[in-house]
Amino acid sequence: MTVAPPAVRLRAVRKRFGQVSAVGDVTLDVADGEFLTLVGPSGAGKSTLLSLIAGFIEADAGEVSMGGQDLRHVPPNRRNVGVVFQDHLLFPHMTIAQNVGFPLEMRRISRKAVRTRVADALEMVELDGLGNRQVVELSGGERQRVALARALVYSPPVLLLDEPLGALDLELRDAMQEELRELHARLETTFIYVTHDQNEALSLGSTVAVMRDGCLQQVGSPREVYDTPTSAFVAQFLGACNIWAGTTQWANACMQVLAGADETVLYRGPDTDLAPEVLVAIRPEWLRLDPADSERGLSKLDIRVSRAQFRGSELFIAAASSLGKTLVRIPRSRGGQQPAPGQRLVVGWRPEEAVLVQSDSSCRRAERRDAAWSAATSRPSHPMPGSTAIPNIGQYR
Amino acid sequence: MHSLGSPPWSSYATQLATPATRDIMLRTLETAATVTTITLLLGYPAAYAITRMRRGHRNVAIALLVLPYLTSLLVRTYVWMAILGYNGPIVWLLRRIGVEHESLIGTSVGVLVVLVHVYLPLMILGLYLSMRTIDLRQMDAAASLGASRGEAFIRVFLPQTAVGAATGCALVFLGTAGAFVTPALIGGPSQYTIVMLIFDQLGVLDWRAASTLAVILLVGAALILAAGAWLVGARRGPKRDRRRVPPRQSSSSLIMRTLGRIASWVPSVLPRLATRMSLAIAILLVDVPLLLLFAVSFQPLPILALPTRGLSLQWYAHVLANYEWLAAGTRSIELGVVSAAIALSIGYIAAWLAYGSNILGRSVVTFASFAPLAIPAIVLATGLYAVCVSLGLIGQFVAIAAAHALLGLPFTFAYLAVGLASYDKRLSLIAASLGATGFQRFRRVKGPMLRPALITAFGVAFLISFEEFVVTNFLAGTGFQTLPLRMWAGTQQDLSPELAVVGSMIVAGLLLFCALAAVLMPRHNAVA
Repeated sequence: MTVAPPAVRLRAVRKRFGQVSAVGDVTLDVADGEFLTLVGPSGAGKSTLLSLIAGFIEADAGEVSMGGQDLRHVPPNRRNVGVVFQDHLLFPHMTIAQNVGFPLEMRRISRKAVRTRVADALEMVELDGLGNRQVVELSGGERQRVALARALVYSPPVLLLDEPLGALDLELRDAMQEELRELHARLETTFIYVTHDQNEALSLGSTVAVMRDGCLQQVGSPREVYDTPTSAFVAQFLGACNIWAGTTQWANACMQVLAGADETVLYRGPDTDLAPEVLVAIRPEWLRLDPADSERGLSKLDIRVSRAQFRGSELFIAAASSLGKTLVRIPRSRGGQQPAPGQRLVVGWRPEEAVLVQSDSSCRRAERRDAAWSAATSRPSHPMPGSTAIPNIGQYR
Repeated sequence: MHSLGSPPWSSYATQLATPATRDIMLRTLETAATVTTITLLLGYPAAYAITRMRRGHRNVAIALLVLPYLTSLLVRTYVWMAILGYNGPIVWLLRRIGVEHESLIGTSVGVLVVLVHVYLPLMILGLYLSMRTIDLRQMDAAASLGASRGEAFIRVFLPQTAVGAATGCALVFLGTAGAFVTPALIGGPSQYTIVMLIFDQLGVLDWRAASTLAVILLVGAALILAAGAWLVGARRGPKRDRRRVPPRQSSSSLIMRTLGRIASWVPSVLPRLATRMSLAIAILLVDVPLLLLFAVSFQPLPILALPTRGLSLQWYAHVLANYEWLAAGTRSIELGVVSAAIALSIGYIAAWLAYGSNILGRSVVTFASFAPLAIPAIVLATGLYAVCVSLGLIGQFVAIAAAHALLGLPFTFAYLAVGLASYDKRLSLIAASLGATGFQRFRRVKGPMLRPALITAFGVAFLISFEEFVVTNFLAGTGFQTLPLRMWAGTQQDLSPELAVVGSMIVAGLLLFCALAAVLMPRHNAVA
């Protein structure tokens, strides 16, 4: 079976600015037609990575290729990618139609064809008939839609979006997210979307890449990176998460991770080769309040509520326990009681559902997991069972 | 004359040790500093008033400020002599209110007034270019954060205009320090300046003393310029992905905070009134000689004075019948266009290099570009004369155009640097991603965005060439005639109203051209 070359391929790409390493050793394949969201805290190197793909800056080392073509020394105007920035960057001295027609003119397309394609592009972003307006006459959302039309009108195989919705209000953001999703479904364009908002990254992307300090931490489907984070950083960046340290023990033909004075079982799994001390991630919604005694194999933990937050459909409880800080998220029914601070509760979880994670002090390489492999295993085990050295584990005690 | 055996620095020591020279030098710098301060204080509110105007009005205001550059500085200085002199309106007015005053000619006040008249437009243009890109909604944002209008102005608006103000100050300071015509004709011997001293040394052929003084002037001016640049934060390297490079250190300093406090007590009506008043005063100061020039051009008698005995068009007929004036005018326009084009190209490259390079490169390029301004025209003229004689270029169009381009370079560089500093480079990036080549990016995006700066730079360079006298006089030889040369000849011969007629015709011609351009140019802002 021959495999089509990926839309974008990065191989050990590096970029430094003076003393600062903005992107260090990034290797990533983005498949044709994928919607990749690149998420991470500010300063993670997301925008730099985008600029490297767009060709605004040249990588110090490594390979950037697109559709199998090496892009070294290819200037941005010959890369045929679309770029949309957070501030729309429309040309203020041109009308909307002139802005959208600009890339077509650059490609020496006939005036007549430009006119129809501009009209089509504006219709695509629901701004038909506004072609003669000046940039200043449009609202923020409209400008961003024009920027989108301008970047898509020449049907580039890859569209790069750098926090395109960052400057819009919440309602507009939701609407634009929906439009982007529809556009992506309709066109056969590969989207690479930079954001620092983990909710946006998880809800928009068909693939999520988490970045930190210039390195990829984990790449996978939204469900994968949320449910089976590989590191404490990814676990906590994509949503609240309990990270507890424990010691490993072989018992009953499976591996257990124990913690605390009463040897609570944090994790149970088929792993064989583990370090004596490991980190376990348990999301707040995996915890259950007042578990029935009858249920077997359930781990239990006494907690003391320090704060209960009302969130409409759910309750979010921050509590203290023998393992340290404990976060619990439970669904809320109408009229349900809200625990008071100081109240003692018991929570339980299935240790098979917990996830082993790496400590996140070091900048590691994250290889793309093989899709077939992860489909075959119903509950993927720990991705890097071989690693033994886990520095800084103490911070989770 | 010094002997050839004395060490090279001895002449500097001699010059600096002479109290008379030191006094002259100090007075020159003092005058330059005073003129710079006055133009800044008057020009800043005036420039602000222009930015707040509607588009059409704005263009009129700018045109009014640039108009006087169309007539030779010599002619304008003669008009000023009439205004400030014994029979002039100012002394007459002073006499009416009971102040007996002989004449303002030969006083420091007279020199200051005329120098401000000459250099105010340069200051206002520099400031205007940096103000026009500031989004005034920032002031609203500052107000929402609790700043009064005055405080918002000091803390938000003012710091962003520092680059424009520094540019304007540099142009005015260097220009004034190196000015010759005004101090020589208005100030006279009692207002001796270092440039006049150099001129006199050249007169007695003491080249060594002249060049020593010129170098001292140049170095002194460069030091002051460097100090100014350091103050506004030009020492910082360019920042990536930043819209503008505003100097921010000073914005939170104690001085700024104190100023902000004080400004917050100023009632909000006052500034609006003050800015408009400043603009009115600026335009008056800049354009008053032109009005008088118009009046003089209708003088029936063969003297350069106000027509108190009826009007006549006879001098117009005289000028139009004279082929010499037309030929000189055509030649001046050719020179202006060619030299402005050269100055614009070199100035753009220099500004581009300065804006994109590190601090050392930036300082070098900036200094090199400003150097022609810091060297007094008379020194430059003699130097260029020597070069042209050895190359056999005296009286050649190319040589004179190149010399004029050299004189225009500081201005094209300065205005383009201000323009580039406020250009969002990411617009070029996005244009590249949309498929535009380097040339297309300039033609379609960067050029149009920089158009005001490009037009200003070209216009100023053209006008500098159009009215240049000193250098042209040295390089022209016998056969080459430009308008200022022809006018100078007129002042030497008979001071007939012909001069006023030519001046008036140039101004009227340009006004007509501007009006036509305004009518014919498609309106960019026409809203469907």
